Amino acid sequence: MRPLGNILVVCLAVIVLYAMQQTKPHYEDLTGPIPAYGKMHETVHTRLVDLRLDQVDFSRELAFTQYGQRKTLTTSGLWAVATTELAATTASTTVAAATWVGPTGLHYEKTDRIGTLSSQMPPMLDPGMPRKVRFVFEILPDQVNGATFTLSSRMAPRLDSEARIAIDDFRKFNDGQPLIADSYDLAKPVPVSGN
Amino acid sequence: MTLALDETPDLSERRWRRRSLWALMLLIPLALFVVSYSDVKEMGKSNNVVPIDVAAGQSARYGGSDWQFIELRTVTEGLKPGALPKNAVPVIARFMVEIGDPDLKNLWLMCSIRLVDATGRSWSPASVPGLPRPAEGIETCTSTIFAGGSQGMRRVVEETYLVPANVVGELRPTIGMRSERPYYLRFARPQ
Repeated sequence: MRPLGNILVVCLAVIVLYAMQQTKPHYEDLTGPIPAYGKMHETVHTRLVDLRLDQVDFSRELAFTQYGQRKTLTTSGLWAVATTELAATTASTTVAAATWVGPTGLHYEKTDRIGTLSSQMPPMLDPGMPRKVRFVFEILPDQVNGATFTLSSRMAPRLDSEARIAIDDFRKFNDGQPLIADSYDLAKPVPVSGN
Repeated sequence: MTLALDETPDLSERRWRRRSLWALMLLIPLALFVVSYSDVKEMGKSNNVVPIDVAAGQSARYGGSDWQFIELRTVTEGLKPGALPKNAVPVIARFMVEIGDPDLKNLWLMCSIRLVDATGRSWSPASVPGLPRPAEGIETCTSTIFAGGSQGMRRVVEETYLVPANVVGELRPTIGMRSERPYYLRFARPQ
C-alpha cells in the first residue's frame, strides 16, 4: 500500500504544480503598473500625480510656433490633443509617459514630431499648484472610439500607479464619428471650457 | 495518506529534519535580507529618511561643511503679471555655508534642498521666469560644487522655489546629500 500511496502523492503534486504553472499571473503582470481607473472630467489620483482629463480634440493639422516660426504638421492619420490638469500630490515631480491606447490595443506614445517645444516637454509639477498640460498623439482614425488615456510618472511603471482614463466625452456626430477640425493651434492658450 | 518518511525509525534523522525546518524560520528572512540589502541601502542613499532637526539660528555639520539657514523670503519684484500660475508665489531660501572638507564633488553629490510644509508635502527648486539674477558669488547647492571652495571659506547658497501662497508661512527647508543620507537636515524657521 505504501508505494502506491507515494506514487499517488507524486502524481497529485505534478497536477497541482502544472495547474499553478498554467494559471499563474506572469511576473510582468504581477509587478506591472497598478491601474487607477477614471472617467473624463473627474480627478484621478495616482501616487505622485492627481490628474483630470478635461478635453480631447481631433484635427487634420497641427499648428504651432517654434523659434518665432509658424509650423504646420500634417498627418495621414489624426492628431489627438488631450487637455489635462495635473498637480503633484506630495512632492515636486514630472510626468514621463502619456499614452493613447486604442480600442484594439494599439499604443500611441506622445508624439515626438513637435521637437523641443517647451509646452511639450515633460511638465514639472508641484503640489498645490495644478497646471493645464496638453498631450499630443498621432493616431489612426479608427482608434478613437473606446480609447483610453494613460499617464504615469515613470516610463514603464513597476508596482507604481498608472492613471487610465476612458475617453468617452468628445465632440462627435450622431453616428459616433469624432468631429475633426481642420487645424489645432498649440500656440493658443489652453481652452478652458469643455464640450 | 501515510508517507514512508514519517515512519523512519532513526531518531537522530527525525531530530535533524525538525531542526532544519525550524532553521528555515531564520534562514528565509536572512536570505531576503542578503538579497535586498544593496537595494535597501541604495534607497536610503537616494531618499531623505531620518531628519536631524536644526534649531533656528544654529548651524549644523552636513556633507563636511557647516550649514546655517538664514531666511526664506518672498519675491515680488521683476515678475510680470500673469506669468505665474495664480496662487503661486516665488520664494528664495538662503543659507550660509562654511566649507569644511573642500571635496564637494564627492560629499555634495545629489545635493537637494527642498521646502517641506506642515503636512509633509515638498517642493523642489524651480526656475521662475523674470526673476532677477542672484548677486555675484551666490550659487545654488549644485553649482557651488563646481564653483568650489577652500576650507574655512564662507559661501551663500540660494535656491528658488514656486510654492502656493497659503503654505509660505509653514515651509521649512531640508537638505539631503548622498554622502549623508539617509540622514537629512531639517531647519526651523528663524523667529
